Amino acid sequence: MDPKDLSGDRLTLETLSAQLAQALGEEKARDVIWSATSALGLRGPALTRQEALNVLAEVADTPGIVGICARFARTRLLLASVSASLKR
Amino acid sequence: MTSVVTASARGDAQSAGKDLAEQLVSKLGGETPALVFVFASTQQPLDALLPPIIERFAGATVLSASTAGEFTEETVSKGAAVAVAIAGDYEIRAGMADGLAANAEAAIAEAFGNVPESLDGYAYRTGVMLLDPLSGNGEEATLLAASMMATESSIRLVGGAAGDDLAMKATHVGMGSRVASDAIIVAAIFSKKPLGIGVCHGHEALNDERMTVTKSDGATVFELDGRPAWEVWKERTREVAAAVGINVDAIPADELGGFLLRYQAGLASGSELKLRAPLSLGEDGSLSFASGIPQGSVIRLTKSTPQRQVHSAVKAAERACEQLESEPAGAVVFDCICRNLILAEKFDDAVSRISKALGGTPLAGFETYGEIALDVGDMTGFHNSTTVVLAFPS
Repeated sequence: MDPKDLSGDRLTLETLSAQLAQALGEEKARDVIWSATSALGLRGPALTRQEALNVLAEVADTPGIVGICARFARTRLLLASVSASLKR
Repeated sequence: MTSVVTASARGDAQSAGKDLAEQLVSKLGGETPALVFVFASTQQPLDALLPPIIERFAGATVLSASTAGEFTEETVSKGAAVAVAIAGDYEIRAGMADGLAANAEAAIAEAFGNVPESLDGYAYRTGVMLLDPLSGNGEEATLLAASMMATESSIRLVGGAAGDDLAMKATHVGMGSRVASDAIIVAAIFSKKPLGIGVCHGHEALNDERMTVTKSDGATVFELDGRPAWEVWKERTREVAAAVGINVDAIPADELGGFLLRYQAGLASGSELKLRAPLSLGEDGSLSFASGIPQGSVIRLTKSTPQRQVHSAVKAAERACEQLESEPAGAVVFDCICRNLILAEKFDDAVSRISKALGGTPLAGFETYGEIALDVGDMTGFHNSTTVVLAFPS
């Protein structure tokens, strides 16, 4: 499965991390996703769409490039969610 | 039907501007361009160069950038100016804002103020961005712009970061007669056929060694693995640089910018490396990049070879052509200055091969400090050491 695929009902932490890795690199992306997941009291390896959106919202509060990447990823995930619900 | 024509000129800026305008008028044969790009060395200040062009093409959107080198399908130059005019069934909307370093979000919002989401009768919108990379907000601006376009199913952005002939002091972008540094331009090309976008870079990891960014602030990296960034950079590149005749401990000031662009940082992303080019060296041994590098990032140093540089440039042109529904009419090329540095006198050959891959059609472009390309599904849009080709259909 493509780690960047956002179409599933549940999203793994790896999938979320892959969204940010293109701009931040794998290590930093993994670090911020795992930290935010933990801070929200969530556990992987997979999250619901809403939980994933919450994780990205948490990361989006980070100043600078990290927060901007997360906001863009969150926008993409929201669009993917709308697209998925329209297909149902 | 699209017409793409190019021109190049040198001499004093005012005369060069007139020369560019006259060449374009002559080649257009009575057609009126919708869009004109002007790319000029710092020896051709845009303020002096642009007036004759703006006067001649009053109905067109004229976008400009200072460069680290400029070229057309016929000429590769330094210290000169080139222009490309695109005529056909296109509508252009553009905006410009400054203050990019202090508040990228506000600058993007202001630049987007005049850019509508859609235009009746035009099925496709392609975003073009020109920006000052010394603001340190290259990736940030690109992702913010993409976010503003995210209501569409397919976001497509291309562009380039201005240069200043490797001085790394001040770069400029312009829209019409307004020219500024610390600024960004966002333009939308509305078209009835899809434009082609091709992207490819030619760098690879220097070795398997990884370094962690242990102290950074925005786009400035102070420490790698707990030591001054420049000390580590020199240490890790000493051997490979010596092999091409560079002594990292005695780099002349006017060659430092070029050195930094040869050996760039690579962030791991799957099987790819996302390249980040250092643009300047601080007195404290820090390195400043064109985009934010957060603390905790893990980087590898990268290098390239002349063969890979030529191959990647041609690949970008081929990919752009593949996206067109008809033969190419011409192209605008945003090409990293590092390709020119690595290829030296063979750079002409790379431009010729890009042109050949585009069917020998007219093209113009410039040597950038960063390249912008974000297509459907991409989560990053600001690149380094990359060739970005924007091809127009016939």
